Amino acid sequence: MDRRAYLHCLGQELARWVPQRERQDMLRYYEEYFDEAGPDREQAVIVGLGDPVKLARALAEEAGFVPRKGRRSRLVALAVGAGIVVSTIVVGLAVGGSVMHSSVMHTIVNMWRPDYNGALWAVTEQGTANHPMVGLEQGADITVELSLGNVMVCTGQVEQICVDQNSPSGYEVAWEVKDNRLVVEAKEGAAGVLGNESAEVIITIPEAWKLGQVRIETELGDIRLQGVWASDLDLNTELGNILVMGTSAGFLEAETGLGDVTVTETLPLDSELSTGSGDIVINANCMPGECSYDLETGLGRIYVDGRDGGSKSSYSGRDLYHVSGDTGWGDIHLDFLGN
Amino acid sequence: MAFAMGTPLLDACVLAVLSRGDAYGYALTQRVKAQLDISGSTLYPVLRRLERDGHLTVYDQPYQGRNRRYYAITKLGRVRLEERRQEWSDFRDGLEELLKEDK
Repeated sequence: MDRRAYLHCLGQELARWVPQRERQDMLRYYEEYFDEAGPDREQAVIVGLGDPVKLARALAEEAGFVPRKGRRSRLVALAVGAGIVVSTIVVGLAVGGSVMHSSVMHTIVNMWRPDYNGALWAVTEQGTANHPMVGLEQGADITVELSLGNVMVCTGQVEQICVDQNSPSGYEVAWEVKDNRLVVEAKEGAAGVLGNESAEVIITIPEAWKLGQVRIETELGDIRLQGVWASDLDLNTELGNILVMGTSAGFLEAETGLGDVTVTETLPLDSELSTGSGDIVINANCMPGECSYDLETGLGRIYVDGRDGGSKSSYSGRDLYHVSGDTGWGDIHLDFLGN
Repeated sequence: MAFAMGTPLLDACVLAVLSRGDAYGYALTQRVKAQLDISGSTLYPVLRRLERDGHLTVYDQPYQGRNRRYYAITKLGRVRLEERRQEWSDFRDGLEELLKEDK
């Protein structure tokens, strides 16, 4: 059976119960589904969708055009009709919330509580993230410039952008808000101490907010973004790793001199990634063929879905994603969904 | 092991993905599929219901000579998502409390 036959059969069966207008919407949805999957995945889609007669019936029932048989509950009908299984309970909302299954994240904002003045404070595993930033709203820009320090930008259940710093070595940062931009930088005269504990700057963003331009620069430190939504991301460290996770942006630029760059669990975003010495790991949230890429390594290898692609590899796909990656001395791993 | 997934949770999953950015049907399905074992027929009814209830809106954008339909979360959708997140949190806590082993 091919796509045309499938859609024809689906249409015929739907015509038994579903009025024309609704039926056209349904068919359009599945036509587009086949279009997006592409001719290469046509058979996989057909297998995935199952018997078109059953699909038509399920759609008609769900839309209320066919009385459900017996006293099956809505829940069971949907489960049976769609064959959904949930393999673990906890996975459920890992998709969208600020809870990540990775062990990399340090700060998860659990709740907020008011202090005796009525100001809101985000409570994290490390304690209270203080300093809610008044005067910032959606679309705010963020600029962080440190010479020494890790930077984390994450989302949480806060009402305003909050900044917290953790600097046991005495290295302090200062911040100011101006024209809907948050600027964080090292305090003048700050003496950096190179040791196990450097300064840690944690910026917590209200979950529903979209930011404008986020620029983070540190000479020595990691940069971690979790669940951030912004127009533009520009991340730069000389010595440190960059991790971008659960993020959505128009454009991502990430550069490290010595360290890894990891991009994972993000909606498609155009990115330019480069490391001097370190690996680049991209878990592309799309199917192979939807991503265009230009990857080049100096002294490393490129692996696309685990297959060795040499030291230079390009592909022009459907431009859902465009990634350009460049390492001096390190590997690039590009993995697509479903692999 | 299979647990049937109720519609409120599915709604929440879709809204959660859309809360991070607009998406078209296929990409949205793949995103959810990356975490949950759903079939290709699952999401259409969900999207339709969410649109009918005002939790998302729909718009078309030309793409490679055809129209691609995008879904976008609405303010009402965000409110609903928050409610669902809280419900899930409560539900999960209660369930874990029941399921945990006695030491």
